[in-house]
Amino acid sequence: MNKIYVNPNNKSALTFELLALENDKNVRSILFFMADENKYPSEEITPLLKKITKPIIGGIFPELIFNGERKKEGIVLIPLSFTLTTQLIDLSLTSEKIFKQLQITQHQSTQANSCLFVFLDAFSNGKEVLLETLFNFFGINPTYIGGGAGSLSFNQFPCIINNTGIHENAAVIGWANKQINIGVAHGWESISNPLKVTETSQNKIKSINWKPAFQVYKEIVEHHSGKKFNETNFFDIAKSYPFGISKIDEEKVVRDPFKTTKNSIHFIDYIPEGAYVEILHGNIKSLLKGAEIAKEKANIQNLITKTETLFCIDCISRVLYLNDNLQKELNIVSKHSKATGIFSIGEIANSESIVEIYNKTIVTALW
Amino acid sequence: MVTRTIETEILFELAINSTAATNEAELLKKIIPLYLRKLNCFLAAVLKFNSNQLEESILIPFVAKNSEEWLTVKNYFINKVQEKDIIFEELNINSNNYYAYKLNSYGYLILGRKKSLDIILRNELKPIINHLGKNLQLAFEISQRKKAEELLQISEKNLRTLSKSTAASILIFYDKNVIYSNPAASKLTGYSNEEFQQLKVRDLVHPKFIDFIIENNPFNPNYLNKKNEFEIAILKKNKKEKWIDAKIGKIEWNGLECGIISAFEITKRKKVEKQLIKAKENAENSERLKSAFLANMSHEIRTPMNGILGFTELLKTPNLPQEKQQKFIEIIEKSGDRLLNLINNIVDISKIESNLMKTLLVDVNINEQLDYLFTFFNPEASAKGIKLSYSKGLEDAAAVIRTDREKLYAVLLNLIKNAIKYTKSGTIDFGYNLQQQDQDYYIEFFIKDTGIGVPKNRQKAIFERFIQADIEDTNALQGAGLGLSISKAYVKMLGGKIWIHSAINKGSSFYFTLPYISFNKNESLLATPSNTEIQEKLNIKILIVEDDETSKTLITTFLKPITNTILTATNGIDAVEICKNNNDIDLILMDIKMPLLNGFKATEQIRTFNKKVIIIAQTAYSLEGDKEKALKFGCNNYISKPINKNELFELINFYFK
Repeated sequence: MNKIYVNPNNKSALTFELLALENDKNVRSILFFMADENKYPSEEITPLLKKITKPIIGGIFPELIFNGERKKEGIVLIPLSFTLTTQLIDLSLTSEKIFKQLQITQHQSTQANSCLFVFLDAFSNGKEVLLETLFNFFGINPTYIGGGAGSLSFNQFPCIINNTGIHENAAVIGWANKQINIGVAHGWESISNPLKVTETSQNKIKSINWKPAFQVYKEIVEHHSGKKFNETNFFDIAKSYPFGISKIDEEKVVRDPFKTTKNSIHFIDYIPEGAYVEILHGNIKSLLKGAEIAKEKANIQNLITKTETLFCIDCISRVLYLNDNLQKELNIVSKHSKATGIFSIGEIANSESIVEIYNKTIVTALW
Repeated sequence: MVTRTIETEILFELAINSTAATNEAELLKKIIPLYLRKLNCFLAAVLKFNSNQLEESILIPFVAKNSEEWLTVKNYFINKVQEKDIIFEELNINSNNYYAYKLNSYGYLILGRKKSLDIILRNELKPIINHLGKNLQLAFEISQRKKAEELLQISEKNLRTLSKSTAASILIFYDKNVIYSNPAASKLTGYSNEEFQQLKVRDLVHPKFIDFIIENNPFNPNYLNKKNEFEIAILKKNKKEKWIDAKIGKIEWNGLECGIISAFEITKRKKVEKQLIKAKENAENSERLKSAFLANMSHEIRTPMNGILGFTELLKTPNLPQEKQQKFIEIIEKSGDRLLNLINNIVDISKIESNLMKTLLVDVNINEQLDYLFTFFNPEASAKGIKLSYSKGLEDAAAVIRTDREKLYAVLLNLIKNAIKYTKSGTIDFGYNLQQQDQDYYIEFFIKDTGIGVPKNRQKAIFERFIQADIEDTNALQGAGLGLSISKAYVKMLGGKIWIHSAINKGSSFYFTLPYISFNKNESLLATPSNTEIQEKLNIKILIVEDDETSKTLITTFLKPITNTILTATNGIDAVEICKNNNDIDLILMDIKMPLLNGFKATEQIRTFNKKVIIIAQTAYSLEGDKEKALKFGCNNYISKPINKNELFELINFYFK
């Protein structure tokens, strides 16, 4: 099916495209992604969304990918030939309440070899609870694919889209009885021994190996990079030295540090206290290698005779790191089929079993 | 090296988290997701033993519940456990690896994994998971115990609430001592909860039921479950008797085997029952008495009637000597009197019962009444060898009360007559005393004899009508048994009461009371008789017509001071004759009840030839109609017997002064 890109500030074109999808009987559902830059305000887009009766899920992301190219603005529409059972979830709810809602709306979503799209507010505190609850409900029946919505401004705002409008501190899911193949990889490699996270507070590590976290991190990174941290250059250096949470029989789950305060290190996503982490490092080559692995993994799992869509979820921090080399990465994943997707703040997938939020990772999906 | 460190850390974390909670559900909810995530599993489930059967107690994820794969896995492990096959730890199905770990005696933990578990990690998990099982079993037992305790607490709370709010009185006792009482029990008995704790059950039971309670105590070794519901009397704190309908049983209370009594008060019901039984007995008694009365009445009427008819027949015998004639006539006369007396009594009792009997209150000097009665009965008593005496509790001047003279006379007459009747020898003493109760004065009359006495169980009954008829040992005593019941009714009508103290063969003492008006009032009343006192002779000629010698003597005694001319007659014929021969007679005191010719007929005849003479009828106490009748037959006025001196003088003053 043809993916659609709509330029910003062209509401009539957007309306036209949406109505065309609404009227296309081969289209059962729509993935709706809007770039943060020059985004439509909620009051303009909501009436339009409400006109569409086919399930729409998506969000506002830092940047978009359309036909293997980076899009800093505009809207990408991905029509789906399968029906999504969608559900908007309030991320302030407890696990028990979310579970009860799932029992009501998703009680028929029980088939194996299915898929579950998950788009959530990247700056919500309820992300981990949601993912745990989703796994407790669906298990490994579906293949999970999705990402964190929001803006690189790091401010929380309404960024989750469904047929009723744009929502803050929320998530939207869409289950389909459709097999998809995914590949998850990052290309980051360990440069340190295992380190024990000895004290955390929310998404902040306070101590590592019972020492101030930044002090341990600084020592390793400065030694490896030959660069010195000062008051202003933390992110410039840290974007090349993410953390990797060690897991049994799994790829490391990458966590992206973005600032430091009082010897603590702040992350976009959660690192559990007691976890073993390693300091990772990558270069252009290793990251591009990662993209290659992700694409291959998706293809290895290929049970699909005809690929409809190559969907790519790439981490926005990889964009920041790769800069001009980003297109190389997009070219790698788009080698056989042009990739369309999002640059997200955290990528959602289950490479083997447990669904995770990854950072600095690339996820490719084929259906 | 790194992997081993992570595995060690995971094992450590799982071990630590396996012991932290004591609540089974909380522990499962926390630890199973932890196993799932830390060991990178896609499924985690617990099969728990329930009565030796394994049942699924928790399963993650939810959607696996109805998946065929999971059902296959679950049944596989359950069957293995049932077959007691110990080599069943791993099952590979659809490229998925499932592991079963024993949770000690609690059950099994099943883990599903894409990749197989490292053999070392798999074995190292065993003791940790077994330890988790121990903790789960412990938590389960604690929760069961807590649940049982909670249920017990709820049950006890409900029981206490029920006990507090029920209208039934509830007592729980241990070893005869009361250890619990509810508010209803306090309300019933007047004892507070604290006071109850000091009591034994027997302290509450009426003495007459203590043996019964001991016998029916469920802890009595001889208790044969004979009765666990009964009606008994109890004693309140104020020692008042109450009736209860009680149930008794056993109960376990605060770990002790106790007895429980629940009860409802039935005092009112018992009272009504008692009244109904009494009413029934009375009705039966009344019926029996009526039958007896009728039989007796038949006898009482037939006996004098027999005398009258029999001796009338004998009078017809030709050439009967004069003496015999006279004797027969006397017998007929006495029989007639007896019959008349009986009829008078029946008339009185009929009037009393139909509320037609009225009282006529006048000032009565009771000393004079006693004087008269003594004079009246002394000859009869002496003839029987009985010593008759009397005493007066007040001076003459103060012995005046406002009452119905005739009824008082009738009561005294009846009681003295009875005393003479039922006394063979010894003494009879009668009289009165002035008594005081609070601010009120009253006269208490007494009539004491040394006669046959009245049995204790008859002392109430003799005041009931027809009762004498029911006395088995009539012992030749005459009478229909109406006298005392009439006396009781009269005393009651006059505002007093009557009772008896008596012992068999020792005698009887009858008492009755009448109200006594205050001294001041009496004094003013007492002034009246002195005014009616006639100081000078009146020179009037008086005829006293009276068949009773005693009465005649009494009236003569009264009148002697005021006149020298007193004539007497003992019957109506004589009276008419005397009047014919003495047309200057000024006053006739005419008795009504007389032989040969009664007072009415005699007056009627006298009026045929003498319209002027003042005739005052002496009317009988019981027949109020006599007064009107007397006036109708030509009497000018009437005076009630026994004659009151002052009253008589008032009348004489009225006509002659």
